Amino acid sequence: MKMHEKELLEHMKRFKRIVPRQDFVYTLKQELLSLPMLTKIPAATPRSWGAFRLAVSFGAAILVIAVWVGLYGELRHTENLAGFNNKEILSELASSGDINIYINEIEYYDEAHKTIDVALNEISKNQKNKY
Amino acid sequence: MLQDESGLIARAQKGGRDAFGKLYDHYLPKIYRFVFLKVTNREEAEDICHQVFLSAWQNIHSYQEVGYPFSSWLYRIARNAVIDFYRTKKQHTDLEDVVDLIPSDADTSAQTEATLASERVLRAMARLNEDQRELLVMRYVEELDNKEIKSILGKSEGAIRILQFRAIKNLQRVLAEESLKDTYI
Repeated sequence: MKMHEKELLEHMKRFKRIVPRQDFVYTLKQELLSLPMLTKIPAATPRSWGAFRLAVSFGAAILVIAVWVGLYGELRHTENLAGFNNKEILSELASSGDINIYINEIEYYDEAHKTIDVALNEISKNQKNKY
Repeated sequence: MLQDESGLIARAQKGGRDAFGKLYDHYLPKIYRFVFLKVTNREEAEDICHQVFLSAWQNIHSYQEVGYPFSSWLYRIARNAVIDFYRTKKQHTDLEDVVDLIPSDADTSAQTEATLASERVLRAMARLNEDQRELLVMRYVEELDNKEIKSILGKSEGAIRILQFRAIKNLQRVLAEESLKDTYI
């Protein structure tokens, strides 16, 4: 027996009579409506990107400033490396008189330079006068 | 579609339980029937419907009517729930349950004959592949149009028409084979 399409469709429509049990319908509804709905998590929108970038930039700037301040503080207050203590070296030189010798040498050569200049000037004047 | 469905959805999205209740009252029988004709077991259909409407209530805020209606959204949730069900549980195929649930208008021989014929159609449908069976339920039981079926299945309208044609032809073929078997037994 071949069932024609129209007859087939009529039979399938009968399946519309399938309905859930009434107590199931009622119980499920009561359960669902007693539950809280999940709150919506706001999605990132294009408008929020500007604020986000600003916040990131501000945070980065604060971080850089904090690092610089920290480094500066460290440089000022940190004790020099062991074995490389300028104050101690200077004080040692001062106490040993070496630094005074060094300074004296500088003064000497500075004076010597001036004396030579004066001498050269005199020579050049004398030669001009002669000729 | 339910009257003032957009308004009900908007109110439900803001937490309006009464509004969701009305959506539930309208769509539960349809979703239940759709699921039941796929799993052919009352308890399993109830479990799946429970998951579907729980998910719908908890995620209704994420629904946006962008090209497909609310019913399509529900059918998609139901479809996915049935797929998950097939993955985790062995399918329980008991067509006796289904036939018993088709009420007759009157206890006449004509109605008995009609019920028996419906049973044959159901058994034949169970022998079709999942896609074809699902399409027949959506098109001829739930009477969804091809546009809505397209938004649920994610197939083109052309593909749906071809699937529909093949489903009907296969159903007729299976019924004819069953009928021949009955003749020679």
